[in-house]
Amino acid sequence: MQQNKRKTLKTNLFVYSLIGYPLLLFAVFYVAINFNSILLAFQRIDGTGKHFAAFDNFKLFLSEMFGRGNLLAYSFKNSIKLYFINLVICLPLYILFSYLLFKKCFLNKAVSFLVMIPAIMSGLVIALVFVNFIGNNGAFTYITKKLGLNGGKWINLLYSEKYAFGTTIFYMIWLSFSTSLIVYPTAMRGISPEIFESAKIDGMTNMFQELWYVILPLIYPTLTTFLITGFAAIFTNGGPILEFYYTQAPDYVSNMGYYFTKMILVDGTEFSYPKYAAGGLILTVIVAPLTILLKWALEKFGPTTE
Amino acid sequence: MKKMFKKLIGLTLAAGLVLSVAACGGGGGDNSGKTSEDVAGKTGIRLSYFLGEFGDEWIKSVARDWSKTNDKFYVEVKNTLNLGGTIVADIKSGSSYDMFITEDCSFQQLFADDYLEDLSGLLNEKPEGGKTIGEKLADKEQWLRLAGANEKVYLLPYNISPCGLIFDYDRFKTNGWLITDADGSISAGKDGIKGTYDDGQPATMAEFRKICEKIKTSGVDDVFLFMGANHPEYVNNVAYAYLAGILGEEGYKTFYTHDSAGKEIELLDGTKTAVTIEDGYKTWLMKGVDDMAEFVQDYLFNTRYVTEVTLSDKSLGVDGSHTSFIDTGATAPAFIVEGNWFENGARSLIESNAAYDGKPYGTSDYRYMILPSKEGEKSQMFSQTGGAVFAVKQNDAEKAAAIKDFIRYMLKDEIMGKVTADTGMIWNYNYTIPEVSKAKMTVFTKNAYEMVQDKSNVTVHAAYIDTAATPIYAYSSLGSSGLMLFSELQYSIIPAIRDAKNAAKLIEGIKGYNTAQRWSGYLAQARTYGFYNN
Repeated sequence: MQQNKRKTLKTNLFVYSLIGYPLLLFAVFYVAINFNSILLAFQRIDGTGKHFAAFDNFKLFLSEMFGRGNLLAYSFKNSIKLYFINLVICLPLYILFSYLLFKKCFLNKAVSFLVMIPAIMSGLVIALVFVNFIGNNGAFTYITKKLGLNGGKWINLLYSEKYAFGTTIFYMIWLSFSTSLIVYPTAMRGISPEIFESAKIDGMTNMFQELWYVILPLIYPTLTTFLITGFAAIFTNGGPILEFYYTQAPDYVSNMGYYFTKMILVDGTEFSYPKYAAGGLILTVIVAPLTILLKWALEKFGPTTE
Repeated sequence: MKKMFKKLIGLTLAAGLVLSVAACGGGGGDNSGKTSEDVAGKTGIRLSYFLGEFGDEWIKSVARDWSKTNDKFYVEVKNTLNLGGTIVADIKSGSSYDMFITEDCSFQQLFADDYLEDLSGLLNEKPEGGKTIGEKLADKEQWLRLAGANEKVYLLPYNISPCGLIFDYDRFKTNGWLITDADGSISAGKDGIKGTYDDGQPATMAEFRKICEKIKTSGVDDVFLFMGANHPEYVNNVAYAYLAGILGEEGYKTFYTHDSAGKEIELLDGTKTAVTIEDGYKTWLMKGVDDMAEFVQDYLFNTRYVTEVTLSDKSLGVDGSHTSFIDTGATAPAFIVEGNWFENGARSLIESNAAYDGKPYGTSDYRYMILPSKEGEKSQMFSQTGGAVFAVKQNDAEKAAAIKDFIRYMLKDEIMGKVTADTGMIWNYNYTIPEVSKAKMTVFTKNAYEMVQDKSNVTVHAAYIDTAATPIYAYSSLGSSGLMLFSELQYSIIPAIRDAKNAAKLIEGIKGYNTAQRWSGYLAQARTYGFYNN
């Protein structure tokens, strides 16, 4: 009896000590900070202290977000663009490549290796390598000069209005391939071989049919997880902008994730915190219900495995 | 057996933990350059030092020498890259550092709650028995405006190293790029004396253009080299030097104090008005700001004089730009936009280059090209730095006294002179460099020191100092990061003009962003700290 008690005590001690620290971190760095952020959103800070500001900060943030030609407006639009590019271009590419890897197509190991490199190296290092790769003395420039592109001159991929946004998108796609090419093929490998056999007996004749009628419905739960988490992060995903430009990104590549980071780095005075806190609340109010709605819609209208 | 195995594992892990912790702690000792003899039985004074291209050897050496003279304390130098806002947040949350030496002076928001040690007593101290530290301050009046409150002085100056257009005088002379007199000899420059730092320099913008054209037609790709993507802020120093040159000392003061003291100034739209702090944003719209934008467009953002690589290649870093500039080839860049730290930072590159026809370290006759200024006005230069030395409020009076003693020791002419000779750093003090140190100075440092000391002909401003001394910057969300905002939170003119595409659009952007409404917000914030209320 006493031995059992001691065992239970030990188990409890083990469990609580294991989860205690993360819970403490959660309480301090999530709950307390978000609570403080909510309070800040309704405050005005000046030399005499903090004052109630009603909805002034919200009005200011909204007027800039839906204004024209300012950084916040650019960032808001770019974040939405980014999400849809991700949805329309990246997602089909991830699934296609994952399927090709799953089917062990030609060069699948080489492709796996190439897309996995960013996953095993520091993001900052990869960004530096990329910046040097496309720099004036980089390999990419050497090739483009040899090919006589851009009149044999260096192509300004990071700052020209023509290429900069596209370059950041390309980089993001390349980087996010690694995660996708781990998750999707793993989900595909989880499908029982009998299902493929059965599909063949039912008349499935080519790879497209296999992907469309068998694989997609069966990996749908994985897909929805990515879609929902991707949507929830629509205004927090900063992409590689900070690594590429630090605080000097041109307006036309900025996004909301980057905007908040830049503001705190450049406009680090406490006077400005309430505006950004209000901005955070506004974006949460937009994203949170839409995320729940998206989850509901995906579950309600998505394919079933039956 | 199993128990023994467990014990062994436990001991191994514990030893590993102890060793790794020791390794972390030990790193600090190595970092500060101390030996166990220096620190035995003493209490450490933790000094946060901004590690730029002047290096950390000098401060470690000063710390070591002072620590030997003190029985109870030693100074432990920790290199950081922290500036203004980061340090303010660090101190407010209980910093682990006792004192700071940093490149800016935006710490005014720490004054109200007495976070810092009062250093006013040091102003009357005589480090070597001659001048007091107060008498040594290079611009005492301006410094005291930013350094304290309620008769306390929390900040002492650090360095004010010029940053601008650096060129190789010998190369310019050989190629005939300098301004000459009617007899063909190199002109004397603004000081009227031949054989000084400003020989052959332009007196008008037409002459400056002539120099640039001569360089360009000789086959040079980059007349001006700078890190447009990585350090665009260096160009601000050239742009503001031009602005201060055309506005004159008084006009420049109006520009950053946002008060014309009752006098009328001409605005961009041609109207004339007196500006007070109430409508102070108008000084950012004064005639001259457009000329500055056009100057940048015509020279530093003009692809005739600056390649797109210089403007926008993110892979062009410090070493890459230094390597290009010290190159002895005919097409090497003519000017580099850099500061006094440039030569010390490029020391290893210069030494390596000596094997390939380059000159040995310290022998190249690098000088600053000073832009022409308005008739009757001094030449204007800017410093990228405007550093401060200060200490966190101490509970231990003995430690506070030791920190002050260390500062007093560091501010001896002998020490400051040695640091200047060794690194090129110019202190924001009036000090005499001992002959022994002078003999060791590089040609570049001699030229720069001579220029800074020629106070009858040259004024060196520092944006950090001028903004910190003006409450509308220091006590509002405007902040002390720059003299003006070209667009939203954009203090650097190169990214601003890159975004705007040309000078005219940049000016439109400045007008659109810096409005009466935005200004009233800054003013209201500064007023809550007790400024501008009368």
